Amino acid sequence: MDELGVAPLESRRMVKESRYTLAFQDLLGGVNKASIWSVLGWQDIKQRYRRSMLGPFWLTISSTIMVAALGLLYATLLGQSIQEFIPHVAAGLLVWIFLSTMILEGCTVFISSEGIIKQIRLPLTVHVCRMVWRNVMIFLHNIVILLCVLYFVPQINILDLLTIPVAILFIALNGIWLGVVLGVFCTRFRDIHQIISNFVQILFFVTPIFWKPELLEDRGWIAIYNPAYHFIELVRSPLLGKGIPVFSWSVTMLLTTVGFMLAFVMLAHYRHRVAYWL
Amino acid sequence: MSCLRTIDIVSLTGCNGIYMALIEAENLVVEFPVFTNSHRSLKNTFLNATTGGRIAHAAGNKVSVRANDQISFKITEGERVGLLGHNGSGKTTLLRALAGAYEPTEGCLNVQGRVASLLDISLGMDVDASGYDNIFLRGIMMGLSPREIRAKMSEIAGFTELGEYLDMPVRTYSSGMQLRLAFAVSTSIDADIIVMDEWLSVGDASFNEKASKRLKSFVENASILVIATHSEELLKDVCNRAFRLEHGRIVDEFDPRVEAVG
Repeated sequence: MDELGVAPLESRRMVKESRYTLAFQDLLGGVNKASIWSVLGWQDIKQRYRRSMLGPFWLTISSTIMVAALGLLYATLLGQSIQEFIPHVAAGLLVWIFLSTMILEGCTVFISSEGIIKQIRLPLTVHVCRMVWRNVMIFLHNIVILLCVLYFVPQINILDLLTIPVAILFIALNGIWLGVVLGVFCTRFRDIHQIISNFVQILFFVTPIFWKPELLEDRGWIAIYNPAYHFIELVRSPLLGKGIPVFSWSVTMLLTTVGFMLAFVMLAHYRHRVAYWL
Repeated sequence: MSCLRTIDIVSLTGCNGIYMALIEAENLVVEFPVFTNSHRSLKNTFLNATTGGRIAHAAGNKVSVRANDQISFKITEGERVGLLGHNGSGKTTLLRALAGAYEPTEGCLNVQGRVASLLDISLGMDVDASGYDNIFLRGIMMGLSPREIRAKMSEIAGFTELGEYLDMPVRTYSSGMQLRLAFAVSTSIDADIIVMDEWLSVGDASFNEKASKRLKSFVENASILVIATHSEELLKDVCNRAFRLEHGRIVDEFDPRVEAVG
């Protein structure tokens, strides 16, 4: 065997490679094929905004309108100061959209690539990366809003702000395992997608986006046990000048590790079955 | 126990040349689970798990279709293999397995060489994008790198004879023009193994002749061709080996150049 793992022809027998090796190759190889997923992901966005003058900047505009309208509405309803509330809503909502869209699109990630999967041998992770990349691009269009919102923040800590790009990358990384796990599950069991979309809807309301966790008082566990809250905090806390959330970073890192282990096991056992389930 | 090995020869260049294009199948089985609504839902799986006994037993007999059943063959460099058989005899499934999309349910499949899959040449095209964009997209799908595509761009554009249309959205093309574009990109790559469902024919009489010539040289440049077809003429013309498939098995193998089909 040479370094490529290829035996010379004469002594070659059909060796079965371990399914774990194959799963690992799928994950790594998929992420490596950036030339494919970046082109396809960007194409998805271009396709969505074809023939519109502002193109993808509609993303920025609709998010701005949503943040402004809902921020004002809820600040009034809950009797909060607008200056304090708008940045809170902006950061919360934008990260939530990023995360929840990855969860929902993760469910259909293989189903919507059926044509490619049935014809061309590509690591499954490529299709997941395409979805994640598309959502990263959308989030980057919205980042202007976060910059504007800084205007309302009284104390800005530049060093803390620098962790935000890392946090965004980190959330995107989580999109990969979410897409693999949910994608495989939802391809096999078509009901799961419905269950997940209901679940995401509920999750939205129990996550402190339009309200502050301080409101919970002795029911603080609702936020503490909510992974979405911690992911949002990674971006929101440094943005609002509240420092780097060490606890949230620990929770989400743990979750990422467990998530990738789960994705790895799923790929090892079901990677080769996905094409058959489509 | 099943296995699939694919080795991309292009990525092996420089390895003292002992690697040759090759397809080897040993008791290859491709079996599809058939999910009716009830099978695919989680509810049933869950109910089966809780009730046990009778229903679980029924669930044990899952419906499945054996599209390829215990197929064994070896295709070596220079061979042009035609697959014959009625609809549903497993030709396309076998092609998809060779392209690496379906991994064998049982048995082994060993594919050495860069595979070009021409099963659906319009795959990946975006009708709202321009012709040039689509050359790029389709090229990416065929496994070309962005740099490779840019190098081939003018040759591909020239072959299509679409001229200024290439700047227009593909939506404005006639179906024949769309096919020309897809065809030009799909036949512009360097492949060791070509997997094709029926001989491609594009466009009007004069263009079709040109396309046919291009396809011939595309096929000649590859080491192995596997093509599913219903046409006896094509078989005699192009292939030097033929498999007849029935119910997912190879029931007959012959040389189409000497034996009459039938």
